[in-house]
Amino acid sequence: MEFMSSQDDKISWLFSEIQRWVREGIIDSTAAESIGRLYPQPQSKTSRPWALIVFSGIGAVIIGLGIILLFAYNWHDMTKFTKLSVVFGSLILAHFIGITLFIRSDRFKGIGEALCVLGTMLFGAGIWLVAQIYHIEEHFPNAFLLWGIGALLMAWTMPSIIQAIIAAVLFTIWAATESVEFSTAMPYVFALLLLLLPIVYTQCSRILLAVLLSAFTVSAIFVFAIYDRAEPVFYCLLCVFAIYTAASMMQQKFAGFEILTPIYFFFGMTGYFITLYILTFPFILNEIVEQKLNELNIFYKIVPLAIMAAGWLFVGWQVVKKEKLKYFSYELFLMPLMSVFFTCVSLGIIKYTAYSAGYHHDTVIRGSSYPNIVFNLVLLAHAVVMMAKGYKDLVLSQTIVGTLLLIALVIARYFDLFESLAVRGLIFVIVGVLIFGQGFFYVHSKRKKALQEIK
Amino acid sequence: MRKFLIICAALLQVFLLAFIGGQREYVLRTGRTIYLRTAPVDPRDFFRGDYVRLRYEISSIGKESFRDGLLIESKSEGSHKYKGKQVYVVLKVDSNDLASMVYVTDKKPANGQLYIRGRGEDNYYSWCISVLYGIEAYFVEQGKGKELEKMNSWSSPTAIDMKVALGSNGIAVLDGYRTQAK
Repeated sequence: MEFMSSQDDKISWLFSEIQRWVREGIIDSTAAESIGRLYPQPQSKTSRPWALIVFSGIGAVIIGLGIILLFAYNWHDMTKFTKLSVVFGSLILAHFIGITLFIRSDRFKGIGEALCVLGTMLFGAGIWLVAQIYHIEEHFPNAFLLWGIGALLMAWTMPSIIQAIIAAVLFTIWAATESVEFSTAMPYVFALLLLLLPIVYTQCSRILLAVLLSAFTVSAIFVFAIYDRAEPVFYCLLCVFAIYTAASMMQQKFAGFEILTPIYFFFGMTGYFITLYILTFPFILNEIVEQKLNELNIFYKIVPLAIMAAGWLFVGWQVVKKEKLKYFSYELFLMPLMSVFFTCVSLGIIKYTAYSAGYHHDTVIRGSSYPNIVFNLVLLAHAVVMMAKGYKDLVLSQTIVGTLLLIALVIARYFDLFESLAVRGLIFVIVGVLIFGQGFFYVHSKRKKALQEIK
Repeated sequence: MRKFLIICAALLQVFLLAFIGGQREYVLRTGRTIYLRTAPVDPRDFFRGDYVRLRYEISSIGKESFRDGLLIESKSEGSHKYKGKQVYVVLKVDSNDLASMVYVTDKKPANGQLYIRGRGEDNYYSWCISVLYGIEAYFVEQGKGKELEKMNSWSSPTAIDMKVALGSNGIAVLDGYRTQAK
């Protein structure tokens, strides 16, 4: 939505300029009409006042938190009914004025939305206050769930991005507290977060998508960490990030939502590289695989893998059909392959020799196991391909990311791969020369292309 | 239509809150009042302020008091079998309104019996079941928790009995406390 309004601004500017050119005799009206036909007509200015919504929304959230703390003092002089009257009165008042302004006109929509956000914060404050008044010591994560459902309903009906963000944060806190405090996995959190996804699309909101993907990732970590094992967490993360990246490709097949593609791609690739980098460390992989979860749980093992496979089959199908996909390159197929590979390692289909890497009885054992070498080589391949493609297509960002990946990999292996200082030094010199050369060739290639364009 | 839906969503927030409070208020007004003996400590909750953590004499129940399904389950293997299980503790009240346990069961007791509803929690001892009744915290004004704690310390000559209103379905609501000589 934000992107669309900026496009509208540009088109509006262009049309006003065309009128000026006609007035000043630079072009005639026929030429002006021809230029005008090349662009969609500018839409009337009805976009929402985002600055007002954002600032007043944040203000409403902080006010709500302040009220919670204020009531937490639990004044003895305030009777139960005074406290309840304040909570219910302020909740009803905030929603009443908020909804009235929100519906009445576009001019007050922003303030109306902010007041409804305040209402939702007061609803949350009310849950804790009622619990305080009646000394309710029930299962406390339920308060976050209830509060989140209240925000979700408001987000859906208005529709409101800020309410949706509040709901996403609250559902994540719910899943996290259930996992940490009560050792209970709450996979239902994914269904609740998915209920917020339609708002991303109806509002075309990149901010909400970014919050939702973060909430989904954090929730996945807490849900999968329930057995106090690292293996299911890494397994799920590899799948989740591969799903995000596949979504960024699938996204492009639906007109109007292209602006969401970079968000999916950024979260997918960033998360994938971080996870893969962690798995390149022999001693970490050793720990993870040693903490293997032996029971084959349908939800934990099959569902993420099935969703990920479906997503990448779709991408593969598009590639076979020779459909053009932004951000796509063939080495991205390593993502689903790594998920399948890690599943095979964790299920014991691919043998992992526990003591071939890492620390054993206080002795550093050098060398890597077969899976560990695979993760290192795959990350190296990503780094090299990105550097090469960045150089070829003259995309600086790709070159930088590839270079950073390579540096990170070399620094990591400096400490655990080569014992001989001479070999370490030599490797550093080779990589340094490669990076130096790449910078030189990048600048040279850019100059060459610029000259070709001039000619 | 949208206006109607937004109003419904806002009203639902109000009704949800009213239900949480209303259910407890109903029990306070219509329920039977008893007292349960306690041993408090004093933590703080970020959202609700200071409170006295309460544990009751009926918070740990020995196997000899088990009835019905609990008795059958107690003979099977496994340490976490009671976690989350709804249980009913049948109570008797003395002349001072101080309640004590008669037995614990997983079957809802017949009408007319005085009972409190709770849920089993993680328990590492095979000889008993730990039960939470949702009345394990008593919220007080900031700084007042310590006073209450002193009044009920092991060395204190007094004990604190929590005033509890019991609903017909076994739901318990705290409504104050009294101090009694030990």
